[in-house]
Amino acid sequence: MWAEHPRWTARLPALLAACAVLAALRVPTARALEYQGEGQGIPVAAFPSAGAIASAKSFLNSRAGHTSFAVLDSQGHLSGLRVHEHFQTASVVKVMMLVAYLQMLDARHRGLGAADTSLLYPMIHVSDNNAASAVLAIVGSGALERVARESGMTDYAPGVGWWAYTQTSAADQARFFFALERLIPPRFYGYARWLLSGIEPSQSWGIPPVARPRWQVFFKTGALPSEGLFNEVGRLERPGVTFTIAVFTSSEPSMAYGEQTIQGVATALLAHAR
Amino acid sequence: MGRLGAGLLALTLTGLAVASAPASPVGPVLSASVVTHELTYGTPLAVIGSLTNGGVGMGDAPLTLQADAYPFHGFLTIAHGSTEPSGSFDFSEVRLNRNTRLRVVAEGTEDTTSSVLGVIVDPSVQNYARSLGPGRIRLSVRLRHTAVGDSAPVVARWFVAARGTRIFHLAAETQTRELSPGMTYASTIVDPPSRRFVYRVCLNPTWEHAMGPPAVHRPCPKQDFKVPHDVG
Repeated sequence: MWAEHPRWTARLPALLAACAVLAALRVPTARALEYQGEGQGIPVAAFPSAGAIASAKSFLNSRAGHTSFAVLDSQGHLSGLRVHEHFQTASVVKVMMLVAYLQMLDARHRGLGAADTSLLYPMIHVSDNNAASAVLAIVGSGALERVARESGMTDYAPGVGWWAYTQTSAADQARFFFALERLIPPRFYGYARWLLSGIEPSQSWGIPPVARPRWQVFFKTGALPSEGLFNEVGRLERPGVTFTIAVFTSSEPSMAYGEQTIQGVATALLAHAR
Repeated sequence: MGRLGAGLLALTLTGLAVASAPASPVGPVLSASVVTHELTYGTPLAVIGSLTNGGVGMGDAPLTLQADAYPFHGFLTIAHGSTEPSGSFDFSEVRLNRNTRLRVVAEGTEDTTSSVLGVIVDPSVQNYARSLGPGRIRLSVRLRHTAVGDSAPVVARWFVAARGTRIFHLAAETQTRELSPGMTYASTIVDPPSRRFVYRVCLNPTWEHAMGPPAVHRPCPKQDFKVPHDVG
């Protein structure tokens, strides 16, 4: 049933008792147009559990190379290992480009046209670098900085010489993926989800093989094999639970090893999923 | 007693009416007051007062009630009436849809006008919380408000706090939608922080400056915030 606005419910006795004193009518607590109510429900524990996160930390510490991971759990709390360590984004920055491009379309009151999808689809689906460069040329580096700011990143720095060298951290990317629903204009959100959940199988290593089919996985991988750098950021959803994972590695002995590192973190985090 | 009943209580606010001086002033004096200076959208208002001359009530004098509504471009007549034999008058069932300044003017009595009475009109708000199962509770809010301004969606930010705590966590950001002119709705589904909890929804609609006290015309918090006392 609809409940009366508690501000009024609380105010009514005061109104009746003190209506001769104007100053007594003012409610001092309201700071903006905000309304309060009470609810009762059945909370679920945050996911992943603290035990799963500890297990993922332990696993990652056992791996070679330079590594970090961050989780923004289903209640929005950040945890992980070396969460603010700086890494090069490689291709995971393409999701920031996607968001910037969709925001640009929205600001110009434009829909998605063939010219737009001919860039965005290959940029995400097969991680096409030429498409990414074209998208960045259109939106501009300032748009990426705005996306970074809007998603609350604290470790972002533009790439020098090439967009793949953009600086980021696991914490930043976990926050960014958690904020996708807020950052992407509503009319394009479905398209973005479709892109991020339908990435070419050869690039769907790490998190998706572990999480699917129990979870819907929206993700992007990135790699600079010459530097032993393998990254992945994912947003995992099922009814009532959403959380994000970002795993960053460099100086990995091989691509297979890097993929196994990321997959191992995901396995630990999802081990106790109900 | 509902708000309607409270709003109709004929209690005058001291200091708002033009007070009669110890020595009777020269010429007619029109005093007016309102039952409350802040009411909810849809609630009728009563404006009461008296017209006197030399301390004696002036009966059967024609009056007009004038209103200057936000954005306050000038007074317009919204009702006509006349004084009782005692000189008193009562404009009841006055419906205001946004912040408004009121005054009463005595027709044919040169320059006899009451003081200006500021009235703040708050939107009518209904909250709703319904559990959908473990980890899922739908929160919604419906506001009835002035149709001033456009109906563009705005962000509604939802904050939740476990009872007995002081920190409201940002749980969701959603868009409002206008169900019909002057009726805005927003909802979200959140994971409750505890079995019993308190939630707040905050928004900055295009019409906010037309309604409510100036103190609430500020941007909504965009992240978690702490309140001075435990909630609930």
